[in-house]
Amino acid sequence: MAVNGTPRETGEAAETPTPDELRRAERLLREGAETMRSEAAPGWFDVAQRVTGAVRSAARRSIEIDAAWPEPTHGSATGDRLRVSDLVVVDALRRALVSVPQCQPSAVDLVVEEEPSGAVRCRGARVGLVAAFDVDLHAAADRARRLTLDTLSDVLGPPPDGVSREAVVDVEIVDVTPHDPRR
Amino acid sequence: MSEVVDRSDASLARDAALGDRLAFEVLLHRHGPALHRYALRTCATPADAEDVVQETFVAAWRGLNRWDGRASVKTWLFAIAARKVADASRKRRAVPIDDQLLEPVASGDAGPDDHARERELLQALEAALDELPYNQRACWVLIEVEGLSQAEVASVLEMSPDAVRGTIFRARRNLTERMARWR
Repeated sequence: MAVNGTPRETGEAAETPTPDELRRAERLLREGAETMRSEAAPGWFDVAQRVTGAVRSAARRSIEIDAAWPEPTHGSATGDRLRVSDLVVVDALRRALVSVPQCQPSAVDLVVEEEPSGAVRCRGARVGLVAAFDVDLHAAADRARRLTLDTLSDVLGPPPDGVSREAVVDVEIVDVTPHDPRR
Repeated sequence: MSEVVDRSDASLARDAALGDRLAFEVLLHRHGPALHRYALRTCATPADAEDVVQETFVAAWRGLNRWDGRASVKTWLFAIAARKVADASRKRRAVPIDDQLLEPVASGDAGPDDHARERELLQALEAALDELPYNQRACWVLIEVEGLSQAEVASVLEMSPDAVRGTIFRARRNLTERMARWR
């Protein structure tokens, strides 16, 4: 249907559609929306490749935490430092916490402190857990706490002399779901 | 892998927030097509739409620790995308016309089969959509194509629920009148 110029351009009012035309148009709109919904946007496959690549190369902000060498004398003898990204530590904790039944970590915040020497130490962690409603929350929290301590020790080595990590491992049950939160 | 793709958005988002890239890529492939559809219909060019999708997922990857579970992952992603679309439109945007109904959609030569008719219907609807003001277009696509509720759209587009209700009413009316003469 060719129309010369818009109503504004021509100064004419748009012809009012009849009720039948409007009903048909409403049906066409529903039909069109359904077709749009069922179709992948054109070119999505290529876009997905590009977006996936961009996400894989996108870095998150991170800090480096001083860790202990496996051989205690190594660092002090040579002055070398071993540092581990907090992202690595958090990812290790996420993997470890998988073994808390019917629970899923939703947040892991490392408690870090910079020493006068410039060394960044991890003093512990705060762990947020989502749990299924029928889970024994005390048992789950206790298991999460022990796993957190073990993992920090595995990844960062034993805490420096005089520092206890146990005092600052906090576990918070942040939500309860009707089913296993990992599903 | 099949176990991962069957998991809920919330579960995947919690793991992705703690560094699980595989979980994030499942979310990307689950919601990417819808975000791409939305971006294609709200950006000036397909290239802008691709950029919006990419920037949305990179921002989501970096900011997942701020997703608090109050909004669904889908709504949260659309909210990021809507902001990226707005950013893109500030840089470059074909100026939308106002709320006036303009010329009716031109009809095509109806093809002999349903597929041809469907293509023509889509083309006509896309043309009609393209003439709507941004907010009407965005509201209509989010509600009618992507299935968001009016409350979710209010959150995504940072509008009041009343404003969304009025905007979707005008969008439906304009599209209906626009499509009334399509054959």
